[in-house]
Parts: sequence; structure tokens; C-alpha cells
Amino acid sequence: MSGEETHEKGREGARRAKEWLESTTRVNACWVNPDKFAVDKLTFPWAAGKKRPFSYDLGGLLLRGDLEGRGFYAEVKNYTNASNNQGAEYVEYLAKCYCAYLDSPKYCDNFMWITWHPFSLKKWSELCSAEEVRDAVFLHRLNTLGIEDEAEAKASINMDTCIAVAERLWIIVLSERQETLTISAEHRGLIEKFDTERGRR
Amino acid sequence: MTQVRSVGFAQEIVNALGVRSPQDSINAIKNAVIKELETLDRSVSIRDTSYFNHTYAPDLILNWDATTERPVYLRFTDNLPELREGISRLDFENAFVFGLTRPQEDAEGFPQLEQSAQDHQALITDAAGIETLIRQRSEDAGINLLGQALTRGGRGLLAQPQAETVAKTVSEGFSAALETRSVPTRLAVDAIAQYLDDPQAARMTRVLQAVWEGSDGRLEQFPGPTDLSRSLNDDSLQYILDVVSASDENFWSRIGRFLTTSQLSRMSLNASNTESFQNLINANLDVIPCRAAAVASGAETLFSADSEPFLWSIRNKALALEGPDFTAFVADRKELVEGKVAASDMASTDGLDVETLSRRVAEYELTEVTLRDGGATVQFTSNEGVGHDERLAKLAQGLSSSSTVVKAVVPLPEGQLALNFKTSLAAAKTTRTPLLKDVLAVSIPLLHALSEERRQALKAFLQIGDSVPTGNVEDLLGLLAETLGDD
Repeated sequence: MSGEETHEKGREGARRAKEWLESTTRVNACWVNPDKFAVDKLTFPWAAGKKRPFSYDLGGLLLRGDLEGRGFYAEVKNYTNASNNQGAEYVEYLAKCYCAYLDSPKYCDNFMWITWHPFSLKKWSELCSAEEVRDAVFLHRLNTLGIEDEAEAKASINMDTCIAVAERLWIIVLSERQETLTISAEHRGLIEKFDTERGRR
Repeated sequence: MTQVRSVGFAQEIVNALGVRSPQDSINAIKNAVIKELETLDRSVSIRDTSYFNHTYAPDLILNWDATTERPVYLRFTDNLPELREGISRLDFENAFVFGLTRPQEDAEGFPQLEQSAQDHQALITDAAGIETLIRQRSEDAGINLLGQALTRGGRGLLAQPQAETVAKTVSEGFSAALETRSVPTRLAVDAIAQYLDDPQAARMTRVLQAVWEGSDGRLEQFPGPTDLSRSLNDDSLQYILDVVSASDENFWSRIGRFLTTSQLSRMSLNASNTESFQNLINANLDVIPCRAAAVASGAETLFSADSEPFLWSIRNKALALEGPDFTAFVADRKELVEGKVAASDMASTDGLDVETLSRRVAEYELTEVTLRDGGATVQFTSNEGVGHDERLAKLAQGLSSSSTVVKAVVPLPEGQLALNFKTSLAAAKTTRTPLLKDVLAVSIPLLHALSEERRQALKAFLQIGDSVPTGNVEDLLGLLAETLGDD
């Protein structure tokens, strides 16, 4: 695929993810990369090294119940096959989450990996563990810790942070058919009417 | 119209977009948008839905009354095709899509966006577009009307360039209507039809029509759909008051043939339209009806030598005539003026003595007088007029030295006026409705002490003695029937 096609596919993925998340009625995905002013809200610096800041694909708020008021960031992978590096990209994403949490813990309530294709099946059940996060931080230590030496790096990984990040991880696997299995437009309209009837001012 | 300097709403929104905290940013954005929309249409009240840039749910709800609402969707304009697609997903109809930033002028997709807006009856605009309307509005009351109409029923794509064009076309249309020039008026009518839904378009076109007719334009020649109902609606009247500074009495007379005190009391007055308000009423004193008045006597206020001694105003939601030491409230129904005068401002809560009454009556007739003395009441009527009848004074004396006149009835050119001195009220007694000028010309000097000089000035002001009798055979028969019935 050309660079532009990849870009388009990525954009389409973000849009579909936003739509699906919002059709659950529990999410408001306000910020969409690459809308100019949205990107600023989605961007975080690496904790060390010279790499340019990274940004998430989507961000926003969770709604109602225990989730009310919590924020989230999402990385969206519109992959339809295994011919990509999703596994490696996921590891890098974990390292990024570690850095984002260090930078602004109060914004980082939830990190979501939204994909259309499963990956890393051998470690599938551990993908959201603190150990996975730790290993990711170690792998990308030049940009997470700024330490090249392995032993030194291992000693300086903040395990509390890894645990905190792990607690905030979600993996969501979508499929085209699954995306149609949401609340109907009619019912959704009723809920929204209920919500908007109240409101300040 | 209060002057509104451009406060940079668009910039305020951009600043809000830059706030780092996501929740704070959303709050700041919404506050800026709400401020801008409230400035565009002061009659709107706005609810925050706590959604932001949601695929389906609106960010704000605009509300005008129990049944009129419109959803506002805040949107980024970085990608026009996506914006266009998003419009077909909205859960609420009649959307007001508010672009948070200006789209690139050379961006592709504008025509499709315009089409989508029309298809979904949505209005697509941005902060800069609205700011254009707000800025022009302070110089142009027609744009003020347009702004309000767009908020309620606007549709189509109205970014800054389009807003500029529409504002100009409509503004020129209003000026042209004032001169009955057909082409620019028609262009304004077309622009109004393009960018407003049917009810709002009709409302604005009606105002254009009013201006056209007021300027002596023939209704058949008005370049747009016409409303044949003859009377002006409140919008049209308010607009004309705000905008037209005609000193031509004929203009005011042409548009005021169906004025009522009720409609006048609904107008909004300020320093810049008060002169037009005077012109409007004074040019139509020969037709404005009135069925009730209440006169409040007050302390003498200092009037500068330049100002008129009598001024039409709106006080306490009623039309009023203000004089140096009185205020007379008028209305179409007695109930509407009953509460307006405080007891402390009533001149004669015990009634008048006969001598005062005779003095005040002057050249008017009284067909009936009610005297009260303690618990006793005497009603004295006479076909020859009671006010100067010596027997009245004798009657009063006969009762006691503390008897007073509490009520009286005065015949007017149209109908009869019943005056109550204790409550300082005057009300039309018969089904025939008198003219405002006649009601005031009688009730003010009778319910309140006026010097002879002021009395004459009042008569001149109210154009008493100017009116040509407009009676016809029916009137004559009616008068006959009333007189016969009174015996």
C-alpha cells in the first residue's frame, strides 16, 4: 500500500472506532487525530532520548456509572491481516503509555488498543499485564529511561508505574459485522434526548 | 441597538482549543461558543449537553420557548468530506453545525458540503461567519433580524465568505425596499429564501414588505411572496422603529393604520428608536383605539426647555403618555391598567368636590355623575350635561359637606368613558371603542390637576380638534339607539 493509502486506511479506522465507541453510549471520543487542535490533546513526550513526541489516534471521555468523567486514549489499528508488525507496535505502544502516564498521570485514566485483527496470540492473555509493560519499557529504554545499560535500566524501571499503566489497559477487537451489532439509531436517539433534556444554563 | 465591538469570538474559541487539559478545554470552548451565539440572538437560551464532538449527540441545545429547540453540533473543519459525511449521521434534525475553526479557503468539498446542508436542513457555519453577522448587526438592524432568523431556521453553508455576501445582499435589500427599488429587494428576498427555512423566511420577507408598503410601494409590485393580512406583526414593527428614521409623517401613517395599544406596549424602546416611536404614534392618533386609561399623579419633573412636555413611552409593560407631573397608562382592556397606578399616586382617592369637578370639566360634557357621602350614593344624569348644572352643586350640599363626586361618565366622539376618581381609572363604557387621543384628552385633565396652559398644550399634542368626523349612517343609528336606551 502506498503511504497515502495507509494514511487513508488509518483515518478510516479512527473514524470507525470513534463511531463504534460512541454507539455504546458510554464513550465520547472528542479528539480525533489529525484534527489540528485535537492532536495537541493527544500528544505526549517520550520520557527520555531525542525521539519526537508521539500522539494517540483518539482521545476523549467515558460516560456514566463508574466510568463517568474518566478519560481515555486510543491507538487504532485498521489491520485486516497479519502482514504487519502489530505485535511490535503494541510493545512500543506500551512504552508510550508508560511515558504518557509519567508525564500527565491525571489525564491518563485509560489506554485502549483498538484493532481489527488479533495478534501476539502466544502471549494474548498477558498482553495487559504489568510484566508486559515492564518488558516494553525495557525494550525501548533509550526513550523511556534514557539508559542504555541493561542492568542499570532494569533497576530503574518504576514498577509502580508499570502496574498503574497495566491497570489502565484495554484491548478491543472489532470486526465489520460486530460494528453493526450496536444499539439502534432509534433507541440511541431516545437516550440522547433524555440526556439533553437536562443540562446546565 | 447597543454597539458591539468585535470581541474576537473566533480567537477566543481558538484560545480555548489550545488549553491543555481536555475537560477544561471543552468547557472553555463551549463557554466561548455560547457567548457568541447569545450575542447573535439575545432571545435564545442555551443548554450544555456535556457531549463534545460526538458522532450522534449534540453539544448544545438552543431553546426559544416550550416547543422551539435546535441542536448545535461543534465540529472541526480540517476535513470537509468527513464533515459532510458526519452530517448524515446526526441523531437530531435541523442541526446547527458550528465549525470551531475556519476551513481552508482552498479546501475541496465546499459544494458537496453546501448540498449536504440543504439536504439535511442543517446550517453549517463557523465562528468567523457568525462574527461577521454580529459585527454588521450593530450598524444594520436588518442584519440583526437576519442573525436571529438564521439561528432559528437557517440552513445551508454559511461560512465567513457566504455570511459576508448574504449580509450585504440583505442589507441592500432593506435599503432598497425603503426606496421601493425592485431589483435589490428581490435579491434580498431570494437570499432569504435560500438560507432560511419557510417560517423564518416568511417572517423576514414580511418585514421587507412592511418597509416597501410604508414607503408607498404598491403591494402588487413587491418582488416577493406577499402577506395580505394588512396588519404588521411585532417583528416588522420593531424593525421599522429601530431602523427607519423617517420624519415623513406619511410613512408612519401608512404603516400604522392597524396599530393597537397592546402591540405598541410590546415594543422594545431605547435611546435610538424613541423618536420614531413618537412619530409612529403621533401620525396615527386618528386611528389608534383604546378602552382604558389610568392616570398617576406625580411630583413635577424637571424638563429641559428643549424637550417635549409630553412623551409616549412604555412603562410597566403598558403604553403610557408621560407629562411633567403625571403618567397616563393606556390599554385595550381595563384589567391591563388596573394595577399600574400606586395608591400614593392617585390624585383624589376620596373623590372630587363638585367645584373642582366643574372647573376641570371645562368644555366637556358629563352625562352622569355619582356622588358619595359615607354609605349613601346618589347618581345624577342629565341629557343636557351635568357638569355645569347648578342642581349638581345643590345636590352635593344637600347631602353633606363631605360628599364627593366619585364617578362620572363623559361622552366621546366614539362611545362613552366611565371615570372613577377614587381609583384614577377611565374605561370605555360601551361596545364602541373610542380613540386613544380622546380617552387621554378627557381622562388626564379630569383625573389630574392640570393648569389651563398645560391643558391646552395637551389638546394640541393629542390633535384634538384636528380630526374630521368619520361617522356613517350606521354610526348615527348606533348613537340614536344609545341615546334612546339611556332614558
